[in-house]
Amino acid sequence: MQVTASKNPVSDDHILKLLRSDKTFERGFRLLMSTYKERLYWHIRRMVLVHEDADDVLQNTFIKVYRGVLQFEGKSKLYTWLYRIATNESITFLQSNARRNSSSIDNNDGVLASRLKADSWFDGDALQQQLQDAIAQLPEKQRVVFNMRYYEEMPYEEMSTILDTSVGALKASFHHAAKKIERFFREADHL
Amino acid sequence: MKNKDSLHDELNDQAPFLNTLKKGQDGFRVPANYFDNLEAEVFRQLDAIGATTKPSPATARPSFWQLMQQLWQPRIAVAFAGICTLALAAWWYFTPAPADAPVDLAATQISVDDAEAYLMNNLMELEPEHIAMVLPEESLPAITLDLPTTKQEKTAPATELELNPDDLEKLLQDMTDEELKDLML
Repeated sequence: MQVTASKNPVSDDHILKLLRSDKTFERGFRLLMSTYKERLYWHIRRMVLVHEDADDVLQNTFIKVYRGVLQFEGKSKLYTWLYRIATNESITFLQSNARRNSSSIDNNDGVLASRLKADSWFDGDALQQQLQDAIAQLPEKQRVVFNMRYYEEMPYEEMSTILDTSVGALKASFHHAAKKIERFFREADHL
Repeated sequence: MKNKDSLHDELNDQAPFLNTLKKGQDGFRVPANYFDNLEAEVFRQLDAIGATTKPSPATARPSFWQLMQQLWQPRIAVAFAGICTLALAAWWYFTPAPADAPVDLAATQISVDDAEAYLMNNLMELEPEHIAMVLPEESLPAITLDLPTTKQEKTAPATELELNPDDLEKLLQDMTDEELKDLML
């Protein structure tokens, strides 16, 4: 499920140019959505797991983007800014979900796993289900780093810009996450 | 590709089982046409919360006409008109009248007795022709009877009227109030 910038034929500059004119603003926003909707959806889906939740978070993300895109100063890449918003929205969603279930976001794994089992838009096998259970047990930051690296295959440099964390810290975070997941499977006698 | 290879190597070193798992499907699916319908759904949400007008940039400066359009709202226009009216009224009220107005005002406020007293006190300073100018035409012969009779005097213009004080006093007493006011002016 790798989605990279090379799949993106429309330049951020073109989108921003359209967004800065009253006449072409809506066209620019539609272009922004069509360019980034799939990348953002999968980024969010890995975090919240369930399709309906991912859909809600993605729509909220686009609404925030719509309201704030003219404040975007272009100091970073457009998709970096979009990823930040999507990541923040996902974490906010998970935190509010955890509050509703009276648990911390890092101990929310049981709830996430059970919701994933009930999601009709997930048909992974037992191993895939266990992998998602294992990822759900990771601390919030490690979960974000693991998903971006493992599923989206994002270079550490890009992740560093999006998450405002050093490359070294991200590598260490991914390493710890991978080791925890391997241990999870080992304990489950899959290894 | 380099990144992918590097991830492959990274996983092989750290978590080989995860590398094996990555080769299969992850099990996540989306409803049919989900991405095709997403844009319409987002705009429907934006409509629902009343946010479909283009947001304004915080840093962009509006042009003069945009600023005027923003300012020219009915209530602002009414307030502006009210302020203009008040300013005009204040200007009209506080601006002094032209310089000749006090003279007219004084003329209307001086009583006949005052005027008569003034004339009596300054009788000798009045020029006879001024008095003659305000008198009715039929009164004039009475004061111009003493015309020159010689040829030389006849040719000279009668520029001055000769009046003695008694005649003048009598004349003033015969004058109406209106004539006295005119004489003052």
